[in-house]
Amino acid sequence: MNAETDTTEEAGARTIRMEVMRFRPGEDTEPVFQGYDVPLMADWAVLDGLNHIKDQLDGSLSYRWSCRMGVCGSCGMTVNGEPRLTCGTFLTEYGQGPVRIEPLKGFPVIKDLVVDIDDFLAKLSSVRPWLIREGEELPLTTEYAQTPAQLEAYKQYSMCINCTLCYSACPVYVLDPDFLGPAAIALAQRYNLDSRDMGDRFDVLNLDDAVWGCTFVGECTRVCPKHVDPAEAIQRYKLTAALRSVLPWSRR
Amino acid sequence: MKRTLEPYLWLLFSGGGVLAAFLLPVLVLLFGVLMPLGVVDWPTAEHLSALLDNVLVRLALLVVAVLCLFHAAHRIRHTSEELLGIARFDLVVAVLCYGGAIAGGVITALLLF
Amino acid sequence: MTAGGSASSGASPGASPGASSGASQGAFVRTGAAGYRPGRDPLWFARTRTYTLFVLRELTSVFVAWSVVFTMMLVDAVLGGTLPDFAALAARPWMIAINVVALAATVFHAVTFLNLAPKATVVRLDGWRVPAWMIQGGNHSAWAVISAAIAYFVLRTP
Repeated sequence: MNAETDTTEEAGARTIRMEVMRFRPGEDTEPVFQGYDVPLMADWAVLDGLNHIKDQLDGSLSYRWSCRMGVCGSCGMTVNGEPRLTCGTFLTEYGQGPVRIEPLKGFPVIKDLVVDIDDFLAKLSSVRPWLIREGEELPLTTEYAQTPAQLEAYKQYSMCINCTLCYSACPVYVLDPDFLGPAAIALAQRYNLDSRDMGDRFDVLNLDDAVWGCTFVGECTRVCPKHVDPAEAIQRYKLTAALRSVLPWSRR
Repeated sequence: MKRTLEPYLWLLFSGGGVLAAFLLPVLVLLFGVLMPLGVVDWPTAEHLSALLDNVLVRLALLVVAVLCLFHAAHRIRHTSEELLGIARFDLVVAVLCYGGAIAGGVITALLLF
Repeated sequence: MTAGGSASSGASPGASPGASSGASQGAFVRTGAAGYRPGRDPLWFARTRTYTLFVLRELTSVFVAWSVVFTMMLVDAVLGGTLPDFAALAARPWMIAINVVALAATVFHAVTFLNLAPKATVVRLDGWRVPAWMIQGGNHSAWAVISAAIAYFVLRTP
């Protein structure tokens, strides 16, 4: 907090203080907070405040965003200690302020509020999050209709937008980045429970650092903006994997 | 494929958790709080030993004790590693925790039979 | 969000006048020596209320173990004919204090454990998923019935 600068708006307008974590690679050895006063508008999300800073006050600020409507999953940051999508978190939630914006915890910081999610992307692809089919020739022409019950079996887990808020909220992942983590396991379950899927993800999920690393803190579920409930997905697979270990002939 | 003991440990943990939830609060309430405070009278030693005479009761007590101890061992192992940051000594911590549970189970078995 | 799209939007090269050489190599920035990873936070469990509740939930296991030990001390006293000594020990104030905490801990364990059980066990009846509150209600009812039965068998006078 030693590099605080004051940037005051014109007098009269209501403002809110945003304390934004800055980290300039190659220059800073550790992050510092920088304060900005931005207009406190009823319809402004935290992301609007950041855009105001970037456009009007300090063009050097770096952060990720894209859709502004909670579907792209790029704008996750730590807002007053909580992992949130900044496009869906309103400045008025924080009253008089200040609002403290930090990058998502648990990931290396590339610059300012931008974190490196390569680790998550590698974990995600390791669970093969797609429909695995066997014995089919290209081009695929057959349709596979599903009943509403078959859709319901996995639909909740398919809502994930890969925003990584669950990783940031998970103390197991933050303490030990080898943990496969909530979203990857939830997405593995999304395909495990799909009637069209023919794959088997037991070998990647039944590992000490996969489902067995989870101690069911439940924070992933609490912070998930899409109500995926990764904690449930993990506990369900624990039961599946345990039953398969005890009864080797059972598949699910 | 990499083998892991975790599924079996988790089943013991879960079973012990259920038994601990169902059985321990009432036992602690009766023998640890209400009877020592004089709210309810201690049952006679004859009454209690009559209960323990039933071999099924003793077997059930042994199963409950072992599973509850495994439940505790599993949680103490994970929580101590998370709280103290000693996950790299997992093998030692695990041997201590589950070893303690096994030792407790053996002592209980000797006590009851 | 895709890897390429998301990485390019915020950390675009030239956005920061002070950007190091890493940012000028292209839109896709990878962390190297410049990436910052904070050290382990030794007080992580005190940072949010939910983390603290989680740690307290896990620490109930210490008292679960204690309750088993206490029960086995009781069994030993009953079988060895030293129940009055055990009763005197249990009536010591510090022993009562431990057991009051153990009671609170085992009750907290029971409430949390029985409430979380429906997460692992998804029950479907003919495609209809039994709602969590029904499973939880069943668990808590079973807890009450079992507790009452144990109290009855311990306290009944022949």
